[in-house]
Amino acid sequence: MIVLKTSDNETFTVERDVAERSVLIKNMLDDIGENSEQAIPLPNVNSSVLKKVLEYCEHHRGEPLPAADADTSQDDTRKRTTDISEWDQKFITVDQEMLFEIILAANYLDIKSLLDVGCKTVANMIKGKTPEEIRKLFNIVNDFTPEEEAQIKKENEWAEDR
Amino acid sequence: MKNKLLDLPTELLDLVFQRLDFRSLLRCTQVCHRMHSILEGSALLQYQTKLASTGKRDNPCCSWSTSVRLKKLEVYQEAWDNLRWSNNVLSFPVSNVSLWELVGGVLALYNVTQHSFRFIQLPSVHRGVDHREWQFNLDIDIGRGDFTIDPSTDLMIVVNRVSADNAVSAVFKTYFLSLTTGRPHTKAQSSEIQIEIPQLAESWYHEIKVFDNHLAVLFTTDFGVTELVVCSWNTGKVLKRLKNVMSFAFLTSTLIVLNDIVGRSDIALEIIDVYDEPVSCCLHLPEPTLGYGIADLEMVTESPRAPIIQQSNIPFTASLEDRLLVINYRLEDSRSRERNHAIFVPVSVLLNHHRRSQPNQPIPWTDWGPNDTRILPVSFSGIWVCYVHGMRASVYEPAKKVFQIFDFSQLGLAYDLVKGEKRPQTQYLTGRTVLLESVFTERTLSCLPVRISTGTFPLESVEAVMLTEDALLAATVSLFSDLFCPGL
Repeated sequence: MIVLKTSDNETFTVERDVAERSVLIKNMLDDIGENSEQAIPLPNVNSSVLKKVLEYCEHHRGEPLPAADADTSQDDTRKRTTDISEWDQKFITVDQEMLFEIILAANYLDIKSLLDVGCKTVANMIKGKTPEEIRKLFNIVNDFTPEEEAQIKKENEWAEDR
Repeated sequence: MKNKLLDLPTELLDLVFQRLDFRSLLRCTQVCHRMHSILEGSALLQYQTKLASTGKRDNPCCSWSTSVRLKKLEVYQEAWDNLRWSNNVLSFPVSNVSLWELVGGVLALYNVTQHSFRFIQLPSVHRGVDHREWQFNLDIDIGRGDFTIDPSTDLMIVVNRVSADNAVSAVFKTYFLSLTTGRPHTKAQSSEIQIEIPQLAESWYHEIKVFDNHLAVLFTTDFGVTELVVCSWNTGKVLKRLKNVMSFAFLTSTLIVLNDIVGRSDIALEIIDVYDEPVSCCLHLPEPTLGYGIADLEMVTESPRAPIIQQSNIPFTASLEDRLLVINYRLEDSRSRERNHAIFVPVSVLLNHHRRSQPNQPIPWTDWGPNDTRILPVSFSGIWVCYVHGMRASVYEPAKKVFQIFDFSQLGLAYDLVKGEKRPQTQYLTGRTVLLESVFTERTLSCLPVRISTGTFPLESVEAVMLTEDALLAATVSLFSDLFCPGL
């Protein structure tokens, strides 16, 4: 069993193969050796996010990990599709704050497949929306001057359905 | 609430952008300065917009980086713009070839004396497609038949008449074979079916078209009696039989557009669903004036999808999101003098009308034609019919020794005009055109924008031209003598 310690000082005890979905943790474990009782500190992840991330790792335990030296080909292929499996879809149906926390945690912990699910979800939220709808959805302030906005709009007109 | 999307570091935002289509990316550039500055000038945005404007889609199996793929696409487009022929010029003598097909970049030739098929996958230097050839013999002598192929499903369909000439009823055998081996296709429940047409005739013509799992054959007797038979080649079931069809084309795997001028006074396109009863949409075409009759009305489109590519060294392929349908409207007067026009219409236009149409309410030409089509006095070859690919069609004018490529990609055209990057040797026809010749009863206007580029072949006595994704093929001198392929 592995002990993980979050930024808000909570500890989680999990089985090794679950924790090792994270390449970061796997590398740390390889460094400190098998029988260390020491808790692994994760200063960039809080307990509510780690709980969610571990739920993902638990579900996907035992699945092959992308090889450490994998060329980007597999990666790229996956990157360019937007399908998300049913379980992952349900898992990632969370509020925006949690979604971005999961993406940041997946990046920090180096869990490629989870990072992928997160980015696909954000991409799917953006798809088909107008710039104004995107701003509204993600609470983004329009910092263009009206002139700049008109100029960019004009440059992109060719792509809009007529 | 904090802004969580823009709090992501740039490399993570970039991961999100990599999963977006070009339209969404362009909209992102309009959201705020940060998104604009990440995307503007990035290889990702350039590649995605170039794919869209050239009618291509990314090959997800390709492992190259975005900037390498962008570079490849730029070179590819430049080769088309300047018609820069590859050095690897192929030539196919076709002296004993009685039947041939050109589909999805594969040329198939049937040698009538040896009963053998030769297949050539036409190469593309700039897209990394290899030149590949294979051949086989069939036990069937298809001297009284025809065939077609669909590389996207590894399919070859052979239709052959097995009944005697002048039999009271004609019997045709249809075989579903693997394009690579000539053996029965593994996805077909039965390797052959029999179609009987109770019609006495000395000779028959066949027009075979296939789209995904559906197949349609138009049987025509030497005195013009026709029957269209639609079936599924997976199940071998006949789905529909229609008489009096003059020409047809697949719009989707289940929608067929056809024309049945026999025995009716109006001239119209009809769209039928192969699984549904009668005509679901009817679109009128311009009527000829008195003194002109219809000699032929032929519909040409590239029906199958592009082959699914699993090669990781091919960066992109045709998107075929929309396809062009060319309707060859051949009229002749009482002294058999021909007047030929081509009506160009995107398949998407026909599908939109089909979606909105009311039963039993034909749509008059003036309600759709002038805005959604372009009619030009162009005469396409009736023999070398493989001249449409995607949104493009090509034609050769032997008198002027030039070929023309009509490109109806609306995105590509809009892109050129907005960016001020007009293609060389290309005419941009965006206004209305009016046909001066009074062969139609109405004043025939049309305005679908088109790019028309013109070029010449580096060889003499070209008769006609055919078009694939990566090549123009010239047919030279007398019929069935030589095909010449300068792969781009």
